[in-house]
Amino acid sequence: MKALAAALVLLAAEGSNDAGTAQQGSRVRITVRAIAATGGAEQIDPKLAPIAQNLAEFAKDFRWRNFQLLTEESLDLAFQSAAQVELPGSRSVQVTPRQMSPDGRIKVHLELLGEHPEHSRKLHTDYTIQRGGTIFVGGLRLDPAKPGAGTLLVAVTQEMGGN
Amino acid sequence: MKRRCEESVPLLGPFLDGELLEEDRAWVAEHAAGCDACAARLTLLAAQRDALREAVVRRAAPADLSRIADAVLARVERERAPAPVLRLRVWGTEMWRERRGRISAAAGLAVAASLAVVALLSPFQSGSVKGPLLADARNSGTTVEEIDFENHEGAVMQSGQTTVIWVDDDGPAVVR
Repeated sequence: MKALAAALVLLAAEGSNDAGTAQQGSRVRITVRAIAATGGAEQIDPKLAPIAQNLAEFAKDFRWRNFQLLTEESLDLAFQSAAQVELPGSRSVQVTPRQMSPDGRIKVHLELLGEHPEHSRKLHTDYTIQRGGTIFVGGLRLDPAKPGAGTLLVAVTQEMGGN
Repeated sequence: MKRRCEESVPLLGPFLDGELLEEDRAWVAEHAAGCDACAARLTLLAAQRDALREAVVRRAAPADLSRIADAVLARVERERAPAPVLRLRVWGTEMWRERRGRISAAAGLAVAASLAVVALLSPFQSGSVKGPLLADARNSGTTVEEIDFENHEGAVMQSGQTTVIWVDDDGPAVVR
């Protein structure tokens, strides 16, 4: 009986330790959008309305003014679980939510992989982002075979609705 | 040449130009009064001076020099350093003389700090970069804590409230 009580106490203590990192068991919603950013007429694809403000800010500092959505994928991820999203031109981006900070921000690990056949890693980064925030990863050629045709802009959004 | 003459000859020109101190002027005059050679030298120098002056006046006579003074004064006015700048320059010179060692050390530290800032904020960084980057500086809600551009050039930039990670696809790849 004492052994059972001790086990219960241990389990309770374990549970309280996990309370501080309860987010580890919750899920995060992340949306990855591949966007064609070109120098054409100033225009933002209506399907990009959720991040139109971010794109408008981007357009102030960069020479691309025309943004068209190529692909969009929403992910519902558990912490520490990676998801790979295919991008145009046989490239891909891998996203792994790491943990949630006390202020509710999400730490994300992101890897950008190059085109076929090497699929070499072009960058990897750890960043912390608030809910509803969007981070852009740009600079890849829109068409790997055509330099100067525009840039592939990858928008990674931490959705508000995550647990 | 007598010893007194050796001493007086270099002073004959300044004597004629009235540039000697009273004591020296009196000494040269006394010597020349008793020395035929130096008196002759004085006469020759005076003649050369007068001849030269006449020649210059004769050659300059046809020239219209009436605007020279105005032009020179105008140029001096243009090039004159503003008083505060001049004072600052004097102060800087004095400071430099007084505290050369400390200033050199401080300048070295400043250069090192500047290089560190440039390295941190450089828009094209390669290799692994740790710690908060530019993205953290604008309170955008996004903090890039660590980034590695592998063998590409790259940068973390801030567009308004939006953080942009830029990898240069066309940049120099060290290894392919």
